[in-house]
Amino acid sequence: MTTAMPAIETHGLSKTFGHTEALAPLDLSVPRGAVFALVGHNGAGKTTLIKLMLNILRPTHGGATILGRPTTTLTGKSFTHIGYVSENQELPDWMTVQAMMDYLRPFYPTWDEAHLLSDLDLPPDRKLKQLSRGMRMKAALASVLAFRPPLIIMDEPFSGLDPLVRDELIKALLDRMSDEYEDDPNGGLTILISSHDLAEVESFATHVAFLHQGKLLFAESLATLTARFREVIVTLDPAMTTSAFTPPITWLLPESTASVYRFIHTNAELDNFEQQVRALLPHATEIRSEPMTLRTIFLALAKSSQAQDRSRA
Amino acid sequence: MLPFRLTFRPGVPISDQVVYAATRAIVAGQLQPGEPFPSVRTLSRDLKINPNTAHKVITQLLNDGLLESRPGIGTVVAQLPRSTATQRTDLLGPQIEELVVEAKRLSIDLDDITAAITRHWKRLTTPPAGGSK
Amino acid sequence: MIQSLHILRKDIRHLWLDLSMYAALLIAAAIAIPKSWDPANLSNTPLHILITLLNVLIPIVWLLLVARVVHDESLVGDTQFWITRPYAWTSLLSAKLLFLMLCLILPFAIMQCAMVLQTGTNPLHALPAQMMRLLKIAIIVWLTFTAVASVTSTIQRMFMAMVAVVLFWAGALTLVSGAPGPRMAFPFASEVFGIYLGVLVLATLVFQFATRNTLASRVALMAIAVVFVELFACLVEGQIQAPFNAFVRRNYPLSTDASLRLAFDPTSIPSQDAGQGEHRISALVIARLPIALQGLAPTTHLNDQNVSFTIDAPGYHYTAPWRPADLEDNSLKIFIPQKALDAAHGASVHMHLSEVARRMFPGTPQTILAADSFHIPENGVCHLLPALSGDNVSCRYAYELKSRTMISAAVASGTCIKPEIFHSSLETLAARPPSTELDPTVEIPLHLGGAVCPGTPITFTPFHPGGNFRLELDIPSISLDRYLVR
Repeated sequence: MTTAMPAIETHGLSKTFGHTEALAPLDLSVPRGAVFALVGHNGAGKTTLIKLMLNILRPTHGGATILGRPTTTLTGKSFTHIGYVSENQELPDWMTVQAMMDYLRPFYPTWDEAHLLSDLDLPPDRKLKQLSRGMRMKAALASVLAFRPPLIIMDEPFSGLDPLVRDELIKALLDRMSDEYEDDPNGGLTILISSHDLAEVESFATHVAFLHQGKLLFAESLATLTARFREVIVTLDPAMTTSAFTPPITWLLPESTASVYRFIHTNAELDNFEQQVRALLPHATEIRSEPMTLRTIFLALAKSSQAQDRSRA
Repeated sequence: MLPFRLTFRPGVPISDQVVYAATRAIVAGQLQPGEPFPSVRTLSRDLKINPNTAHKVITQLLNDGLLESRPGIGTVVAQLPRSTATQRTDLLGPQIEELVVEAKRLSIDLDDITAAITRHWKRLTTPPAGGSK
Repeated sequence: MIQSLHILRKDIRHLWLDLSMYAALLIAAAIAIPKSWDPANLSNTPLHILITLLNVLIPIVWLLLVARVVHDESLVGDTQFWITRPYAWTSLLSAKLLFLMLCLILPFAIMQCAMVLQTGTNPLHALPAQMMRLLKIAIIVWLTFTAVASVTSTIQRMFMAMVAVVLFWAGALTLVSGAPGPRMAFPFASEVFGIYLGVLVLATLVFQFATRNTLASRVALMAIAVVFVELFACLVEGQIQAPFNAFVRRNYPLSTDASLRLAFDPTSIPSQDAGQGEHRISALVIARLPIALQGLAPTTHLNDQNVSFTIDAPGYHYTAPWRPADLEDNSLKIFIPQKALDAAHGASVHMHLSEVARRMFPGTPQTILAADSFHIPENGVCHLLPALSGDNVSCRYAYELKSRTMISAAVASGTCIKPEIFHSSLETLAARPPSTELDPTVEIPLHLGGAVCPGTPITFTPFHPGGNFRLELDIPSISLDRYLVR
């Protein structure tokens, strides 16, 4: 990734609908060349954030820039460099797949369809309204990949799709990324994907941000995230009783029985990690820490936030 | 077709996992010396990894001497390099000791360990010429 | 520009079925309506039902077409396909307007020309009248449809909105026309309203395409409608008296013709028999004053005669609004509020009258020889009905009869085959504005009181406007009770 200006940047960006704050002020930076995963449960604010980035919604406070220009100044022409795919966006249902591609071509100077339709196994003469949900998403992706934008934003692209279609979508994305890589190894193509299930994307995502009820809990590179989250299982000496203690803020979802204390550590890269554990659990006989997948990290964070909200209420 | 699969394990960097899988395939003879190694694009598509990561993998394998660059052809599998004295000492010394310590801790006897080593060795042995490929 | 044409092409392709249906309806109208001009088809009920149906269907198809073309790239919402594609709003707007002109208006205009052609007149001569007609329809119908379509996302919503619009107009205008008694129309009412509506609605349309701020656009359209009603109340109903009066006085300058004057005859009392008419309208009492207009040359005609007056009694002053003047039988019919009569207590009051009018002078006469079918001035064609007795001339004009026309001819009392006595006849036709139906022609049967025989010369004399003037009359003392109508 280059150290050039980020593809997308937000400063104190927030959105309120009436009395509901859909997005609390947030600062986010999507570096160029990143595959940026935006995680959060339904209603967390992912779609709102994306719509703000694309000037489909106007911010209540704060601002954002996309490809270097303020989002509020996005013109029709800016969309020759930005591709947007969303499960919620309408398609010209009355057109066939090929007709849609032909219709869009004159709008984009960089249009290069090549074998996209056949690569994605799309029937060119079928009307869009007759396509299954998965095919529609593929068609939408084809209409975006075709003009080779340097920024692709996808809002819940895999939602409700069967594994075969998900696989095809990802392969098409990776193909495009390889194209871009061959042209410019220093990274031109930036992808932002929002989802509440990232099993597929985890293998090639570079960054992740987590939204919970409109608040940005964190945004960092996947490497540092997976490095600092550990599931810790401490075996205790059953003969001794452990005195009660308040777990540090970096320990999430603690559970305990007489012989086992288990929790999620959010900063396990601490040098004195073991010491910290032993200091609070002097009767520990064994400390095992397991790395976590993105999905389990997300689950743990979601559960933990829920618990926090409940205890506050 | 990739001669190795990747079962994604959390906690270990993907590039390391792929390097290990590729190394395993090469020592097991699933990739013969002189065979072209999959390109960045193929690795990326088939393993569902970032092209940048795929590039990192190939660079690592080149550095380890498992792959070599042939002009006009691309990256191909190299002859397994002769190990350096340091590498041999490291494997036969501290790494083996780790294995022995772990085995003793779990009360595994020498015969079982030796049997296991023999089993894995045989599994990864290059099949005779004209075999599974 | 290229993007506009590209979008236009897509829209035409998408809506070809609707456009074909529209074309079929227009062709049906172009065939059926001229058929209805033939007196033989007067009792052809299916034909008339078809024509009524077409008069209803074609505006509905306009609504359908406008809705479908504007909603194809809807301006409302945030999930439309096009909002994250490189559309320039200027291209989008011009594409939709081009569609309107090319696929809605042009075929309609061609249909109109086809019908005018069938009268036998040259459509090109009637082009200015046609353009005015199309402009009116554009402002009242097509522009409104487009603006409402731009703030709705489905045809159902648009239909509901149009129903609301129609109900609003009907309701508001009935409410506004509350004041009793006839009123003078503001001299440039249609121009003012036309420009007001046209410019503001178009501006809102452009605003909506540029910003997609649906809420603001909807509010703007509603505000325009409300202000329009206010404007209508002021201008047409004269509810703001002082500026209205001032404007009327300026538009009708004081007459410089010494011979032309209003005269009040205190000795005569006009007939106070209301006859079939009323003697009062709610709080207004009707009176007939012995006032006559003198000095008017016999060939001059007056248009747009309106009268206003003031009444001064001790402790009471009243200024009447401008009302159309009724100056028949050397008497002037006026409306006096009951309050004025009460204030007068039966005594005399001081009255000052103003009358405004436009002179109309006869122009150059043209004589045409009657035949089965013959062209007449001002884009008209007349036919002699086969009966050849009684009133047998029917004339048809393209779009409108623009100016008042005097017609004179020698007509036969009996039939033309055995002509008996000829007498000279004169008829004056008032100007006739275009109809609000699909039929681009207006039919005016002549009532010359006798048959026009083929070969008879008929003289057509159009009237031309000859200047506005105002006359003032001061009556220092008049007892109103004497002139009340019973």
